[in-house]
Amino acid sequence: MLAESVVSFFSQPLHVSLLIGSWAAALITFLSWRENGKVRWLYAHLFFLLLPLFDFAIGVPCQIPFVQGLLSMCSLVITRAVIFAIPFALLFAVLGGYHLAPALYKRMYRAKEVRGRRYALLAKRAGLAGTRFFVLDTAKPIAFSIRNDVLMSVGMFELLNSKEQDAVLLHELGHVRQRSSLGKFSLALARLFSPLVHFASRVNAEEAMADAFAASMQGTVKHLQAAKRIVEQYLRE
Amino acid sequence: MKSTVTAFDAMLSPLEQDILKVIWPDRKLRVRQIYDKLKGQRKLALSSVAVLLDRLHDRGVVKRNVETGRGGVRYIYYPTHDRDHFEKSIVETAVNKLIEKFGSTAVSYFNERFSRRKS
Repeated sequence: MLAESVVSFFSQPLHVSLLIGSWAAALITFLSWRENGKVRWLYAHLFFLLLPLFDFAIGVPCQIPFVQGLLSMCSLVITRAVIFAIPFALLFAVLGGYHLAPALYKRMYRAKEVRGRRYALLAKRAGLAGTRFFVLDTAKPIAFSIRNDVLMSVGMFELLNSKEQDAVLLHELGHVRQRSSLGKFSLALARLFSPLVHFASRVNAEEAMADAFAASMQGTVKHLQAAKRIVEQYLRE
Repeated sequence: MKSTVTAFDAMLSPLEQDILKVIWPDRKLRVRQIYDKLKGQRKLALSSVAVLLDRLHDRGVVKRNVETGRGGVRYIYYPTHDRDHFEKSIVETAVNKLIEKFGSTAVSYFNERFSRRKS
């Protein structure tokens, strides 16, 4: 059955051009993702990579009479793509991307986990004892959080004094508390379907909440504001 | 005239030269230590030193390791080559580019120049 399906898949010019086109798009999105590190390109890459596979997989059981009757799954290529292959490929690209993104980010920046009393204490103060801290090997001052991990670059550490470093780490812990990486993920997902979501962004509100959290933990906004000034100055250089 | 720009890629800006002057004798230094040594001589920000060291690192002029200690994590910068080696490689690149671009004109000029110096 499988051999027959392979033959019938490759005998249709439409399928073959879909395969070539989709994988060419997968290659382009992969290269753009490597270039700019934007997560949405990773999702697009996975989507184009998976689409022909799902198109093929859906064609496999078409020898079974029962399946042939299902929603034109075997007759019309276009409906089959729209009803089955595209939603499945999207779903798996999203699940795969969500699973892969943190590991890829860590690899991209050669992230190393740091342990120590200082980090354990910060996490405990934030009420997030399970948080892990990573250092990113780049001189650009960047910090972000993915799920329960807080990541901060060597460059950020060396530009700030320890109070300012704490302020940034607490800001990121604030994000972990709000689970905003999950929120950002769903936002990115919504953006795939509707560009209008751009206008309903909650990113600013999230940043303000994370700032407020850091300030309330430190009892002052002084350190956080100093850190922001220093990073802005770096970006102007 | 893009090639003339690349010919002098190895050349350094005044601040980059100052950074290297600090880093050559002392070898391994942190950004903040380099900044402390320079801030007496001229008005500058810690972030400028950090940016320039990062660029020198990208160009292969300096190398760096990550060091974890009290006060967090930081880079330790050190020169890839000593001063003599570095200056020699600047001259080498420049002369090679001149010969590549102007061939015999460059070579005959060098000859003329050297004989004038000897006399």
